[in-house]
Amino acid sequence: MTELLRPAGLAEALELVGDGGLPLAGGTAISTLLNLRLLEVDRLVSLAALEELQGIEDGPDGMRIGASTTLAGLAGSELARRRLPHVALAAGCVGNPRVRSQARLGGALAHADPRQDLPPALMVSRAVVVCRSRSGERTLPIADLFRGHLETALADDELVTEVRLPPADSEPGRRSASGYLRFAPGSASDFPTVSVAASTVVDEAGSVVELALALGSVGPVPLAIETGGLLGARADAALVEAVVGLVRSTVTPSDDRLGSAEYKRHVAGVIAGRLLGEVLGVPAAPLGDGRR
Amino acid sequence: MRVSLQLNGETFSGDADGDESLLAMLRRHGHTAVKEGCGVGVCGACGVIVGGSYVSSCLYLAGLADGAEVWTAEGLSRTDPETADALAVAEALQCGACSPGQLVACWAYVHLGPGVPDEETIRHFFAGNLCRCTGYSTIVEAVKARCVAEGSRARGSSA
Repeated sequence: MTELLRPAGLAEALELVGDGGLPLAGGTAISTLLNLRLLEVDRLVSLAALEELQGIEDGPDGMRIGASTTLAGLAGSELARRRLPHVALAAGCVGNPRVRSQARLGGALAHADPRQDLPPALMVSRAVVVCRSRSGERTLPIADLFRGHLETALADDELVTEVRLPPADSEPGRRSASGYLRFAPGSASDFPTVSVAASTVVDEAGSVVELALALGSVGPVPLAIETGGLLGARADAALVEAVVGLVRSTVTPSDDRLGSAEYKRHVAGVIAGRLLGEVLGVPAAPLGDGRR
Repeated sequence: MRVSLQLNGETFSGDADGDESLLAMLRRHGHTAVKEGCGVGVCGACGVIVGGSYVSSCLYLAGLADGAEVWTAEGLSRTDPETADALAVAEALQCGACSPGQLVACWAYVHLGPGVPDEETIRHFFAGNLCRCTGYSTIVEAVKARCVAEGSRARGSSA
């Protein structure tokens, strides 16, 4: 017999999870595992309705997204679409409309499937994950949350309570842009074969002063590309080409039904180049070895 | 645990285990308009409306629907016969296994959004509703027709 608990507040939820209950956010992943008989659980602690975990706000210190925000709520939020269009876009790509209206941001991150749409998008915006247990709170850069396939740095008694994002770059003369691109040639409801998010800042002289790139489905965890060596370069086709090469030499995809590792490495370069070209406004992004 | 909810406008009360899905509980109590397909939220056969949200009842725990308003294809075809009619007129079904789910999806598309008669938007939304007979085109036509009818009614009432 499984007990389903619906605590009235966060403090009560933290006690129940601290006593061994399994946190249940939207429940799409946990129900899938239950239905497949891959999971047996004594106590489920529902977090979806907790007031403390709702809401999307922006302020001088940055943005806060409550962990129990649904993916549909994030995708449709006017604030998110204005401030973090690539994150809203990625949220709107997850699964299907039913999944998006049930699944929650915190649960999605705690599930840590490396094929998910949201992690790369949040990574390029330097998102920080707030984790709480009954013994306290800590914050983690989102990349540090992911430890392996379906594995996170969360302790058994810890919950994701919110995601924080730094304030927008407001230095005059600079142009900030971001984007998200997924390659899913089968159905829109499939996990992507490869996905990529990018966030850039270009100064008045046309030099790239910030360049963040992260990919999904290319290894056991979502992968941020180390781009430090490219800062200061001009935002042009040569830079895009350099990034394509960098992506292909960094990703570590594996063979599965969506394609061979070699194929995915190629596609990762293609979509990274295409997205970065769009984000920087550089026409005709190179596509590697001539295949389209 | 005891689960009490409003099902298709009527009071419903039943027992459910903590890890039982809304789908399983409803079917166990004879509400078989909700179909089980894949059991993992992909096919859309078990789509229902819970508290104004369109969800897969196979992934929604029965206990979490306690106190909520739940609508299945059975109730929606009663309160909104035009959606069922649109699917019938377009001949958007063959074997019928996915049809209750398609009806709920069509209702959700029209009433919860996006609600626009745009083919690409419709196909994107309905990527989560599998049909192995129709080839989807007639379903898309039905949804389009339903959106157009609803849109012209909205324009008419605001004029």
